Amino acid sequence: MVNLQQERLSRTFGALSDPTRRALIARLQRDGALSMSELAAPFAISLPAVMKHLDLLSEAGIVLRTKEGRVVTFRLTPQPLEAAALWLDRHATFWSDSLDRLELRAAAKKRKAKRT
Amino acid sequence: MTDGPAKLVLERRIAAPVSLVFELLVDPDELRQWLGPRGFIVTTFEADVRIGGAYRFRMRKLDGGDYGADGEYREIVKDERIVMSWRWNEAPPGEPLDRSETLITIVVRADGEDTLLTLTHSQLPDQTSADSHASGWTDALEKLVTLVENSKKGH
Repeated sequence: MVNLQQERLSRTFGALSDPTRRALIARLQRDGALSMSELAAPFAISLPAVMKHLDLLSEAGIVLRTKEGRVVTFRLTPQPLEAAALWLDRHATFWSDSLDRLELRAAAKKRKAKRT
Repeated sequence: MTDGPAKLVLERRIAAPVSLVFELLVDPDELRQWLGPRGFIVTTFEADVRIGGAYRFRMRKLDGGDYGADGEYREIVKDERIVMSWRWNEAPPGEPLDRSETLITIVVRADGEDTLLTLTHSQLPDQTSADSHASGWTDALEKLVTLVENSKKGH
């Protein structure tokens, strides 16, 4: 059975695994909508290379591209990033709380071992 | 790229020897005591603790709702590491249930009189695949994880 939710999540994490793409996301988060040239400006890499990253982000559903006349504009779609954060948050809570209890348990057992 | 390196990493220093901590990680009676988040009680933890052995976990939210997971042990190296698959198999009606298989790796090592424990919950069920992706793991997400962890530690 193909798990759509899982596939989307994997795609989001994959898209986030590159520093240039994370920088692009961070800028869109800060500035809202930006054109291709505005987005490419701070990077030392070529425009086609930036375009490739933006294509990947757009395929992953993380950014939305719209075209008005000759200007292509990019903006963030929050859902995929929120889903990824939720996955991490849920499991982080589960394991973080569990490890808190593990620590307490270990401390209690150690005290007990010392006494006997 | 369709299989991304989703990975949650938690590190802890525990003021107890490695052998004691490892015992807590493999003894089902102990696991029933500590596994699960705040506000939940473990109603089932049954395990055949050997490589290839299965385990079954169920917990109940104090204000209602059962959650379950199962999986199997992939690696057990005494006082060193445990690798197990993890798959949610039950959630209360109306809550989303992602049944995909994930992987838990717990590594313990001695540091003076303490134990350093690293727990990794990765989205990839296959260890080799997870390893090959490890270098792609992002600091942005790590920061997110650290944030989450610190906020949990705070209260």
